[in-house]
Amino acid sequence: MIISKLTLHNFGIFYGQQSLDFGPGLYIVRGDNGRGKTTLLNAVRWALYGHYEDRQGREVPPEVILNRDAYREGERQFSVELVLSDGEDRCLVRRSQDIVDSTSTHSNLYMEKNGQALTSGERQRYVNQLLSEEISPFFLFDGEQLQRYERLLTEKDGSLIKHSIEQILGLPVLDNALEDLRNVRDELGKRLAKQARQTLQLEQLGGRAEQAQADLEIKDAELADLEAQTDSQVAIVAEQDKILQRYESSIDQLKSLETVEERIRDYELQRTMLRHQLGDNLRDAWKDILSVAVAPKVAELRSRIEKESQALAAQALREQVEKTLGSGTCIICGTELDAEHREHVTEQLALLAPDLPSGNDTEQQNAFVNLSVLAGIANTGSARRAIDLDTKMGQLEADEVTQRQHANKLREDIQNLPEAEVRWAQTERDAAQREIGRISAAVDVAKQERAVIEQKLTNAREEIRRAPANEQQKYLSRAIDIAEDLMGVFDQAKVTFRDELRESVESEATRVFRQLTNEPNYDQLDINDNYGLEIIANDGSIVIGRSAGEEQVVALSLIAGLNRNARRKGPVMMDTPFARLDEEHRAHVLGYLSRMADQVFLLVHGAEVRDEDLRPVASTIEEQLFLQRDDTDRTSIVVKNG
Amino acid sequence: MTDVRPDPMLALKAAAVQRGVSFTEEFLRKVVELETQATNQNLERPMVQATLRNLIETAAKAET
Repeated sequence: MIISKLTLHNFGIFYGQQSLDFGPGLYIVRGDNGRGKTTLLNAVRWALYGHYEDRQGREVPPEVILNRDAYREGERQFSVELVLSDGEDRCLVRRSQDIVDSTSTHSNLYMEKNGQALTSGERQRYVNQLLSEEISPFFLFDGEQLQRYERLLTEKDGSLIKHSIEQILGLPVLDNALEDLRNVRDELGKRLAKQARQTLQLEQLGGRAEQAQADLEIKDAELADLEAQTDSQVAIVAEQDKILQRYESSIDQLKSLETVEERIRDYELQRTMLRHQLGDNLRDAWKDILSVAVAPKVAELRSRIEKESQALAAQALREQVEKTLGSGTCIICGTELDAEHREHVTEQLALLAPDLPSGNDTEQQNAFVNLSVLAGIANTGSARRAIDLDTKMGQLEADEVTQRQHANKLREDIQNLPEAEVRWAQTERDAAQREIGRISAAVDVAKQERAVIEQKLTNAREEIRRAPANEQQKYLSRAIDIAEDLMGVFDQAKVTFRDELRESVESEATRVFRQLTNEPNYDQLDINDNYGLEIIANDGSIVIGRSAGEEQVVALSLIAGLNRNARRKGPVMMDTPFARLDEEHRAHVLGYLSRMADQVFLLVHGAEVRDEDLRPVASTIEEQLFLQRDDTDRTSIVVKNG
Repeated sequence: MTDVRPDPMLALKAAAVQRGVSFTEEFLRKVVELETQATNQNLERPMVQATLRNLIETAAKAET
């Protein structure tokens, strides 16, 4: 399939009607930033799917899509028309939107295939068949949104993308055949049971077969209902994922904020504890400071007390001696003093008298009181501990300020995050996931019950076949056999075909990857069940932590692999695909583009691809288109051949 | 561009051989072409099933 014609009418930056015709081949669309390259990509997306999202994944409102000049001139409608050619088929897609007033818009999609208008159901089916929205990011490629591709390729539950890719690859032909064969087999079975009831001896068997058939239909309806429930829950998950992905970086910042706030609370708690400890230590810290000044005073008091004690003792002794001399009798032992003793005692008294100060009880008491007070003012280490605690608190305070600044920055960054909406989306998503699990268990039970009923039906049919039968019954029995054999063959072939397709996509993607990469240590790409791709190094290990450029090369390789294996070849439109590629990769990709698909559009700005970059591939370029600013600041598309 | 797509007919023929079922290639091809056309053109399933049933009944009648 290729885009044969694209007509824009007051769409985005494109004023009035601008129309372009295309054939197969490589088209280079060049324009500076803001000239409408991404608008062209979005125009194709909008025409096919009715969605126009900005690069943050937010839906762009119709009044913003409508060209501003046109709006000022009173125009209230914009539209995109695509003509798609697929072999002999020609399909027209025309989507338009009227802005009735500031609160009301009216959207209209018209499609025709080979001149025949399609009904609304046919339109949706046909668009899905041409290029389903899930798979479209691989064909309508926005290089600025590379992280989306990574997510598509690495998401754990890749069932949506897998389903879409298999549609592109053509697996539904075998799936549909199986479904049709099952219906044909059941229809033939009903006719056989009806035939059997006409023969008396087979009536009972026919009744059993009919009953089993009816039960089977009820069970199938139950299963279909469960599948529909699953689809609806999967749609909820996808819808909520879209919201969650849109705010992914803000959600990460919100989580960081929660961590930082937790840390701040922790700091506050630690500081409160330290403050209490500091208070306790400060109560005694004055002693440490005073103890320095008090120490000499204590020593002096001690010395004075000692001296006072000595003086008092000497005074007591002198009094005793004086009393002894006065009475002539020793007051201790009562012995009478002779002249010799009296002389000796008198000499001793003379010796005591000049040196000794007179003892004073009051002074000594005061000295004792002062000493007992001052001796309590000793160094306890509290002041040192208080200083340490204060330092620690200062550090904590500084850390806390840093964290508070970080928290404020995070709050500024996420101020536009609709927190309630995000939390609701997460809750809804989780609930839908749980519901999917519940339904899946119910499906397993229903399938087991269905298998039992089917076995009953098979047994009844087998008995009917073994019973005497007329010609009609014989050929119906044979037809059922053929239908069942075909079902077995298609079922088995489906598994083989799916594996072959996956291998073929892997092999083609690897072939292209080898041409595009400049890393000699990379050997091949490895595809998983969901068509996610891993890079395998020469030593057989999986390359982890791929760079943005490598991610882009892998995505381009998958696009090439899908295109080569697709039932229908889609046009490939790439917006700013080289932003993350180095010069060598860029040259490789440019050289390969014309072989990537039947029709390739490369949307680039001047710095991304220069004239000299295009010279080596000039022969592969069908046309170059320039998005140019005219005198009225409007964008016009200028075509330059080759 | 060379078509490198795996052929579903080859997968069907291999499956038939493995299961010991003998269908003529023409018969298998008719079924596949019908289903391919039905999928490509979004044909109504009851119409496709009626055609498929006719194909199968014709083959059964020829055998009995």
